[in-house]
Amino acid sequence: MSSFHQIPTVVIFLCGALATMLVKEIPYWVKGLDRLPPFLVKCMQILPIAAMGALIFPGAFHDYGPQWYAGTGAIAIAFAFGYAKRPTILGIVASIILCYLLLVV
Amino acid sequence: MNQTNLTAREGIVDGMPIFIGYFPTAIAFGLVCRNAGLFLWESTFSSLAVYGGSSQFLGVNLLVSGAAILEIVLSMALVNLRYAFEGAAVARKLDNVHGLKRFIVGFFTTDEVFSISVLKGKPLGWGYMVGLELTAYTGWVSGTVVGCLVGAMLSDEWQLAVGVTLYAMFSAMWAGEVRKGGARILFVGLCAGLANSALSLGLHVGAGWSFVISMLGATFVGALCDGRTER
Repeated sequence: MSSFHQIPTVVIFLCGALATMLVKEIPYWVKGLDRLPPFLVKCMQILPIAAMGALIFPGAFHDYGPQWYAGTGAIAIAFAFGYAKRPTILGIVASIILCYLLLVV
Repeated sequence: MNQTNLTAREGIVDGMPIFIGYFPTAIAFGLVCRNAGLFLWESTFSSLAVYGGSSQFLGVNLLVSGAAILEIVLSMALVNLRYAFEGAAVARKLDNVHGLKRFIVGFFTTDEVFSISVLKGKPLGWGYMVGLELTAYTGWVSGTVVGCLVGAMLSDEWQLAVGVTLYAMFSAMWAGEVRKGGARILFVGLCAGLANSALSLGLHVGAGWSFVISMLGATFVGALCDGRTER
């Protein structure tokens, strides 16, 4: 079993699963979620976008140390593929290949 | 009397595009897990139990960063909040689905299940939802397994390159949203990224809390800016 903490990884995943389950189940048993204040609804719509930004930076360049350009180039090409409405998997494959090339050069 | 005529077979047919879409993304998740040092059964367990798409990528990322369990769980719950709204829409269309069956339908709710089911012109019965949701679920779990197995066959250099998968996937998703939503979406993402960079690298805030603070802060700013734009 892998362990990044003193708590086993599977326990952490289980807690994440319970939290996710709670979020998914609430609307099936509690009414009124479609009557939240407009500002809160707007926040809920924007939150995944903010999550993406925080997930990408600084990891994309920091994880590669002195070869920061490998990660940066990779996310740039993935962004281009996404903006051009190409299938996500193609963007991922292209970014992996570019990252590899920039790492070995 | 059950008035729906949507069958389990129709659910499976409607679920096949989701299966096809989930499978390669789940392969990417399997690769990320493999690169993070997770075992096959742990990665598979994550997909079986969490079944939360982007939140699973987030969870693994924070796990590897050494974030505390509370930070990981809170971040995953926040990212998955959209399921609460989607579930509310699906729940309104359910026909004679109660108790354990209702619980099961709720567990397998995802963005794509929501998108397809709410557009059906008929009430959603248990048979249809089982067909739809289990087909999608199979794609996600099987892709995870394949990704883990493929990752195990890669060289060290390729495994390092594969580590960019998470960032690439979110970058591509963000780009798609920017295309639809314009400069505001770009601004929100950059705000969150800048805040996370400043907090984690500059102020040495823990990875988990840095992520939560950045995400919520950028969300608040983005919602405020959106309100001012509308006025």
